[in-house]
Amino acid sequence: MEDLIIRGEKKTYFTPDVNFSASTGICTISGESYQEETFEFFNRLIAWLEEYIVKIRKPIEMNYKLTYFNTSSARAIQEMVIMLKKYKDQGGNVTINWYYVDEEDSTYEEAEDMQAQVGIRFNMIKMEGND
Amino acid sequence: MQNLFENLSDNVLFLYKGIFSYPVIVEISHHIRNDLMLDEKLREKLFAIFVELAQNVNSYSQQRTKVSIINKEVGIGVFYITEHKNYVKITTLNQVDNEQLQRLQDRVHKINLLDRKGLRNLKMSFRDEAIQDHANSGNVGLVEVALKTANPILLDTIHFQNAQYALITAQINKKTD
Repeated sequence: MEDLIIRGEKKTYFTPDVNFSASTGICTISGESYQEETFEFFNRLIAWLEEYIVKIRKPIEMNYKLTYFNTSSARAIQEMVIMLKKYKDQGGNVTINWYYVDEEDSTYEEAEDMQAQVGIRFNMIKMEGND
Repeated sequence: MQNLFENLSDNVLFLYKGIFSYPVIVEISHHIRNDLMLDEKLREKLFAIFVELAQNVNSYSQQRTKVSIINKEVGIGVFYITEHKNYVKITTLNQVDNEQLQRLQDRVHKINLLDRKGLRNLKMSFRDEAIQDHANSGNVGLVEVALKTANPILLDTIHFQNAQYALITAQINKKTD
C-alpha cells in the first residue's frame, strides 16, 4: 500500500498538506482546508484509511493540525473520525491528536463537539511555534 | 437595489457584486485576511464568516451564470463589509424564491433563539443528518456564522425589478468581554 501525500496550497487556495504513511500508520493533515470540491478531496483520504484498516490493520495515529477549516471540511473530518471510531471498536489501535492554537479557537470547540458526538477521545495538544 | 447602494456610506470597507465562484471567493478571502485595516482576530473572523455566507450565495442564488473557464454554473450576488464604532458588519445579498426565503426565515429564527450551547448542539445534529444522508453539505453555515459572531443574524428582504433578494447580515463586535 502506498503512502498518501498531498502538498497544500495555502497561498493560492486553501488545500491542506496531507501525509499518510502506510508503513508507520502516522497520518497528518495540516494547514487550512476550504476547497471547491471538498468531498472529492476528502474521499481520497477516506478511501486510503479504509484500505489501511482492511489491509494493514496496524495502529493509526491521526494528527489533525488544522488552523482553519470551513463547515464542509468539518463534516468530512467528522466522517473520518467516525471511521476511526469504528476501527477502534473492532479492536484497532487508534490515537487521535488534535492540535490547536488556543482554547478560544473555533477549532478547539469543534474538537470538543466531535469527541462528544462520535464518542471517541482526542489528545488535545497546544501548538507551539512552528508546529 | 439602487437605494441600497445609495444608503451605503463612507464606512464601506469592501463591496463586491458579481459571480461567487470558488476562485473569486478565495481571492476576496485573501484580501479580507490580509488587506483590511482591522485587528487580526477580527479579520480572521470576517474571513471565516465570509466563506460561509459566500458559499450560500454560490449554492443558492437564483441569479446564476455559467463561467466558461471553470465550466460551472455559479451564483451571482452582492457582498459588503461596513465598519462602525463598536462593530463590523458583513452582508451578502442574493436573489431568492419564496420557498427559499421561507426556509431561510425559519432557519434564522431558530438560530437566533438559541444560546451558544444550543447552537453547538444544532450544528452537530445537522451534521449527523448530512453524514447519514450522504449529503454533500451539512447546511450549517449560518449556525457557524452565529457561533462566530455571538450575535443574532439579521435577515432582510428587498424587492427590485420584480425580483426578491435576501440580505443576510452578521455583526461582529470589535471588543469581546
